[in-house]
Amino acid sequence: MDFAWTEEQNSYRSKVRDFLERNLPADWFEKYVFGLGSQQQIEFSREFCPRLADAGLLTSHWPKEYGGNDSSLWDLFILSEEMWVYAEPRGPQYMGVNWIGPALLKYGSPEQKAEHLPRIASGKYIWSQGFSEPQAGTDLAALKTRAERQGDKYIINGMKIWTSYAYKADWIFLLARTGTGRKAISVFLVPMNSPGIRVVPFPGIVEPGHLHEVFFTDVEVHASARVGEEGQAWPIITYALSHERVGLPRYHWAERVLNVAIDQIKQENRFSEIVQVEAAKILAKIEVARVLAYAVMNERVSVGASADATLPNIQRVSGADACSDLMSFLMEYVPDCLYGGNKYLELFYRAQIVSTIASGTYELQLNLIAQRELHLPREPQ
Amino acid sequence: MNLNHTEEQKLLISSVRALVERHGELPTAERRSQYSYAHRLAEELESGEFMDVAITPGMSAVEAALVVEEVSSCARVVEIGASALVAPHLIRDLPRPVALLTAAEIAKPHRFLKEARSALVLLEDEDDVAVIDLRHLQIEHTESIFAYPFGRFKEAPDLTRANRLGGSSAAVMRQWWRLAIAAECAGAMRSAVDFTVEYVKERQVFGRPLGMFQAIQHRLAQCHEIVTGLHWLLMRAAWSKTPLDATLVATYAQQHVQKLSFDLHQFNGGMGVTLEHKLHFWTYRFRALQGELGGQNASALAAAKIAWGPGSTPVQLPSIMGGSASKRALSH
Repeated sequence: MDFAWTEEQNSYRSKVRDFLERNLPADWFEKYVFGLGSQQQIEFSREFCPRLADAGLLTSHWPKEYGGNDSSLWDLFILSEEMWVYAEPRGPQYMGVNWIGPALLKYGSPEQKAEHLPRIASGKYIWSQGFSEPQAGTDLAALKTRAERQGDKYIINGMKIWTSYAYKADWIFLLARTGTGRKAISVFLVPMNSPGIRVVPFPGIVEPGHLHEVFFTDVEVHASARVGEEGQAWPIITYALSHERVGLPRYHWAERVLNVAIDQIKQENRFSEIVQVEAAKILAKIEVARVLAYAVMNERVSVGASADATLPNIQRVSGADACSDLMSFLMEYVPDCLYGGNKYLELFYRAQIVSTIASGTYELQLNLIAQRELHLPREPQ
Repeated sequence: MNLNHTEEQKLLISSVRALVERHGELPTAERRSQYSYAHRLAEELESGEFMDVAITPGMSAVEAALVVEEVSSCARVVEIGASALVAPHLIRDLPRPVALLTAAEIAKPHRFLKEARSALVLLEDEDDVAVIDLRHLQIEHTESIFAYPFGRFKEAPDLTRANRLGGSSAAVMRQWWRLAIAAECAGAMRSAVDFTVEYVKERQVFGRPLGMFQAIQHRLAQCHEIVTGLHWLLMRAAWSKTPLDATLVATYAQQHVQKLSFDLHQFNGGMGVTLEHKLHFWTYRFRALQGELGGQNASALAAAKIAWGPGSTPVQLPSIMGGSASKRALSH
């Protein structure tokens, strides 16, 4: 058991840092960082990610034939940690790299791989996630958007909601009902410029440009846009979300946020022993989330990714607990960060508002741990 | 980074588990006890040199922490944390079992004091450690609700005449004592959660297993998350050997004693307050550890002093993020 990074991994981390220092504009923080869903940041990611791809840093963990370098999953992990120190200049493209790409690598047809993986690896295309609906958030199987088969096409009607980045996305990874059974759901890869798609932004508390409704009215897609067999979306969703759930190294970001907050508190001569004790308890939780993330990645490197793995759920719960405590700490000791005091802290706070809800609620993680890890009996349906 | 167990670690864990299984069964006469001291297990751990793995060539504190965690998962108790994790970092060939105490509280009852042959005494005011040979001192057993044996000196020893370890021994003792607390908590907490998970699968209420209710599933899932996280933080603290990691893992262990004690006793209901039900053999061990060496707040304050106290580097964001880059900001 060895927690040390190898020389190669340290070298890779240095390469990523150097790239960031050289390729982010001097006014990155002032103009771009604030608002992960902002127009400026999304547009910037379209310039930045191709440069990252050219440097071999966007999808180095993918197979060579699809634009990667067959490098270790640890490289993706290190890349994500460093990106979040700089408030994720990849913008929404982490989705394509972290979980849509890997899902297509496992479940996509040869044609889908040939079409989409090079695009994601180029860093020029933005994806959005068409999962949630007004009556289907945590209970995804309750979704109502339908895809009716007509010859070699599907006709899609319905709506999605809370869809991040939809107004700037090129493609959507869409779930639609294709049968009558509760889980008769299929995955479709749909261009966002398809006739019949309408995106409507609506205000939310996280940040402008974060939330959208996406309406589908008689949207036609070829049957070849379906991923996997008809009605077999569930293993694909589970596999994709198992990547998504550890995709964001919140612990790494949280550690820096805690340190920045403490520096401010010290400068204001308010770092009493009470505050120190509270801060250290949060640091302990952050470090637990960190080592659990390492354990998840170690499991994935050692035995491969599995939709049945529960360590990602355990890690997600630990990260949520740490970040929730940190949010309260910020509000108690540096509340001015939400009215102009420190934008770095405000960015973290705003981004964490949905972190226990998006891509599987905190409670859903607990369900999965209880049933798959502890094998506790399910309630009768 | 490679977090898989080595072949030697796998062998070590399976060997300790086999010993715990062989000697961990509660004797009939002790099934309704506050605690049950596993003398044969202690002898086998001694003769198998399991208590020396921290200083065995090719092994380290990681292996010692694994041993302490595994032994602490047993319903029966032996003195293991002080012998396997604390003493080896301070002094060789100390007669075992070993009791750990602070000078300020020397007159109070201490874990294992009556069974121990040696004691390590933390002298906070002098920043030193005293070593006491207990074999000729009079010590009485102290009754308690806890699942460790407690004892107290009939007459407190004169510490001015005790051997001193000097140097940085006080800091070393604090660090490894905190790690030992976390390792013992990790083992006992894991077993208490596992025991409760099995119980709620069997126990029927309102015509269904207790464990079918989501209110219970969610809290047990949280308990499982806590023990899993504690294990991994313990492993890193044993691997890194840094005072900061040791304080953090003790903080994490001690701050979660309350939740685990509350939830696990709630789910075991009335059975959990009977001595024959076994739950207390684990819960009243980590309850005893909750306040050791000052408890979660002392551990957290110690962590804060290391992380942010005098001598620590002010944290600044990378230049591109609106600050001037520092090594500390990008330290991991």
